[in-house]
Amino acid sequence: MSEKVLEVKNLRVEFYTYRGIVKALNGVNLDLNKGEILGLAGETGSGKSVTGLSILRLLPQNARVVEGEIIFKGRDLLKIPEKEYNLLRGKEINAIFQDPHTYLNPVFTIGEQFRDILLSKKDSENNSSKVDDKKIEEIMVSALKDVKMPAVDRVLKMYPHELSGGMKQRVMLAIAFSLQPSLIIADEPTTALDVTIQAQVLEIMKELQRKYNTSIILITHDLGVIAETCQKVAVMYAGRIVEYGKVSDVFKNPLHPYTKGLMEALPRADVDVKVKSIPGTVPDLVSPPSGCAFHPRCPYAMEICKRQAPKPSYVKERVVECHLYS
Amino acid sequence: MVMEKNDVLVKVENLKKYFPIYGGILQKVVGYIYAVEDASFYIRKGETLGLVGESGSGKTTVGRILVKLEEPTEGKIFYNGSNVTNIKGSELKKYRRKAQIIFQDPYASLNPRMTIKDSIIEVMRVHHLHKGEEYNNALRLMEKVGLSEEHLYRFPHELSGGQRQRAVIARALAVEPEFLILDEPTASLDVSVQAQVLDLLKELQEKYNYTYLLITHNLAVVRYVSERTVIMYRGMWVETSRTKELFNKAEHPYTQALLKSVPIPDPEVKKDKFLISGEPPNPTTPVKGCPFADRCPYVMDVCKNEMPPIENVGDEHKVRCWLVTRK
Amino acid sequence: MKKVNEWELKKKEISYALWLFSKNKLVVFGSLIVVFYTILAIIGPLIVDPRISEQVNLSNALKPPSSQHIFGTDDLGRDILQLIVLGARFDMSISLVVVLTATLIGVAIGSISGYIGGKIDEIIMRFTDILLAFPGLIFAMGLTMALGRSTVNLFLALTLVWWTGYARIMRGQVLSEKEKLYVQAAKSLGIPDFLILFKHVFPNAIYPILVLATMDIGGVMLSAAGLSFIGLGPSPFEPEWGQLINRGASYLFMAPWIMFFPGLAVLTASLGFNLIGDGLRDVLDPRLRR
Repeated sequence: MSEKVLEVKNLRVEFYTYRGIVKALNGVNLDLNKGEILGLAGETGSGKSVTGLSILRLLPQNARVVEGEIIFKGRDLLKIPEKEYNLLRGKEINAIFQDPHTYLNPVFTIGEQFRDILLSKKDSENNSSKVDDKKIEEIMVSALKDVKMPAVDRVLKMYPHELSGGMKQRVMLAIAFSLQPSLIIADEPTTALDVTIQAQVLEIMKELQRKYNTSIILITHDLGVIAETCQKVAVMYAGRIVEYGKVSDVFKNPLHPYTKGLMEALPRADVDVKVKSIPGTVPDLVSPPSGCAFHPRCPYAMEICKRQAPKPSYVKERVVECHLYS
Repeated sequence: MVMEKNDVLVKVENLKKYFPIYGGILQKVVGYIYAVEDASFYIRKGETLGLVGESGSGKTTVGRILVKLEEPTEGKIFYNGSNVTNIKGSELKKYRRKAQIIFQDPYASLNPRMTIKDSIIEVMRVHHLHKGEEYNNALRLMEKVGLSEEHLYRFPHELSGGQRQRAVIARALAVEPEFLILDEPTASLDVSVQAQVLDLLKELQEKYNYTYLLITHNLAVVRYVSERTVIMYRGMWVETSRTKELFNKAEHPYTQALLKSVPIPDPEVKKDKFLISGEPPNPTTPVKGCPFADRCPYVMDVCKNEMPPIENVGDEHKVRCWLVTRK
Repeated sequence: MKKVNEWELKKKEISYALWLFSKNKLVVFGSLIVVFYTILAIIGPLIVDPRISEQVNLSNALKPPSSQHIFGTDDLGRDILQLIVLGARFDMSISLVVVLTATLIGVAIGSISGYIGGKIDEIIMRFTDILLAFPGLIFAMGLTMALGRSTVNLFLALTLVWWTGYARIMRGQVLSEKEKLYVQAAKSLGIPDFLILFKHVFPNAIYPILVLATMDIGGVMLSAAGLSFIGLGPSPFEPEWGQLINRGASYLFMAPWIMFFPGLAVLTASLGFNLIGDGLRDVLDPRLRR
């Protein structure tokens, strides 16, 4: 049953900086089905975080959405007024970020913050100022049990600094899933964690996703995490999605030269590999290269790559933006 | 594998480092952070040793002790046969020319208001190297790390992450060291650039026979670069071996857990879940018994009370685990 | 291999900083004010005869502003506008000199305290604590009364009061820079401590002080005027703005212009410095780190 939860159409976002206009997103298209985990892979400057922020409408002040639509359950998130979007926040759409410090207020206990968040959501749902305290308590305890938090009652009384990195991320997960949203944007949720803790947190995330059939967009540069967690993957480069398809397909047989390059540049813990780096550096988004943004680094670059940006081509179930396939 | 140059260049014996915690009005010592309980290893000339651990393992502290940014509470360090544990003054300065450290964050390790040229030349001047020829030597160093002359005139914030890391390496090479400590050298770099820096490091080692201590939690990088590896947990080494053997025949439960936790960028590889519970340790209490006891799925009573003895389980393969001893 | 001209680069940095500076209208306004008063301070005695400050002409006294005397005259018959022009030199110079000296002393002591740490740091900090415990102006009053009334003593008093603030801030800055990775890296490279302090820590730590000092120029000016006002400044004939305000206070209802215009001068001059300090803060910190 693949019912579409999110559709991003031709999203273009620019940032106004003192250096000039940064073309952060240059026409991003993606679909997300219900219950699906989509990995958004890319390096610095690829635009993966900006995509997430656009969906969450959390772009900074100097950003402009120049073009595009983000259709969520029939509505264009970019066009609805802020008040209407706020009704969706927390209940339909939620987010998990890399650094719990930016998410958790150090001067309030976990319980206080969690309650505040739930209160603000509950209010708008019932449209009444009287809120059910007991119900909130239940939700909090249940959410923390979901993420396998030990000593839930004690944790609720603790301050963020008393918890370790892994536990803070679990609190984030608990809060994010607590009202069972349809869509969660997870931006580098485990990047700052130790390897063994990362494995725990990812496992919990997968369990919760299965339980509530949430659709997740997982933004990360760690291809290992994507391979183990996601069903579909979209590889981004310089503000565009250069390859999109099933994780099993893309990893086994990468079509785009950049995807290929990424796979070859990875050292592996499980097998011995010959590592090959991609020459050059990520492009300057104020003045990106002409034509295909990857052509200066591409071992297969042709004349046309310098002149014309490739249009998406469909190879079976894969979408690739490369002149090699058009 | 370096067979002919078989001499041990760096040897660390039972290194301990406790950081005092001060409290109260009179700033008395109220406790300690037991950052390193026992670090012991050796590195041969021209070899790369991987020092692996997560938060609380003490690996970064070990690196800092080796470049004398910290004094060890106990233990000995030997460099090229001589005891360098407590050297000071001109001896220390001489040692600083032999052993250098590359930190994880290249942006933070460069003075933001100095050009790369100034940073590098300052190092030369301080050690009175290449008098009169400083600029040319700086050019040579740039070339060595794959940067060009114009990069000399840039400020750190005007360089990309990979370029910054190369600049930091060039600066470290300005003292003409033999031994480089690499503290998470690629952690803050993009994937496509990581490989560049790793290849550069490998190339330099081949050409100039540098000895490396690679401190990291990234097992893939360890496998790629180091000949031997030491695994640390809560300030103590728990297993050490030639890298290949460690990855194929890990004996210590923590090593096994680490290896199984690494996400593999290949969806076809099915891993058996080996999730260990609990958190990485907060070393504010001294270790009693095996440091891994409270998280180990195979824990026995003896583990909680007594430190496991060192067992030799292979060629240069040592473990500290009661499970292995009992076998 | 093209040789890059270092001067070109420095010029580019400076012109970028100036451009950034100029984008803030208030800052530009502040700079213009300061430039104006600086010029006034320099050429003051050249366009107005300094001797008029000692000329008493009672027939001309307490005349309101008119075409002859644009700001009116004071109780001694002196033209207020001319007095303000002459006074610019005094007020501007004392504020600048006090701030400069206080900054030098404060920064030196603060850096040493912060870098060396330990017992020396404790001693110095307790000492500054003691000094800071005195309310600044009262302390300055006490000093001037004890030392006697003169320009030099005014300068001394203000400097002694002001340096402690800079010392504390500099110490804090040095403490935090000391822990930064580039300092650790410099240490591990074998760079000696004093070099680290001067070449690395210092330039990075000094920026907040620069901003504060610029804004303090205005503050010192007000304080100097205040001290003069209560009679602790230079001689009563000195055309110093604070003095003028002092005289004007006795004639507040009869001839308010005597107090008003010098007061306006003090206000605008210190405002100008404040605005520049504000702009400096914006320019120096995040944006220059492109």
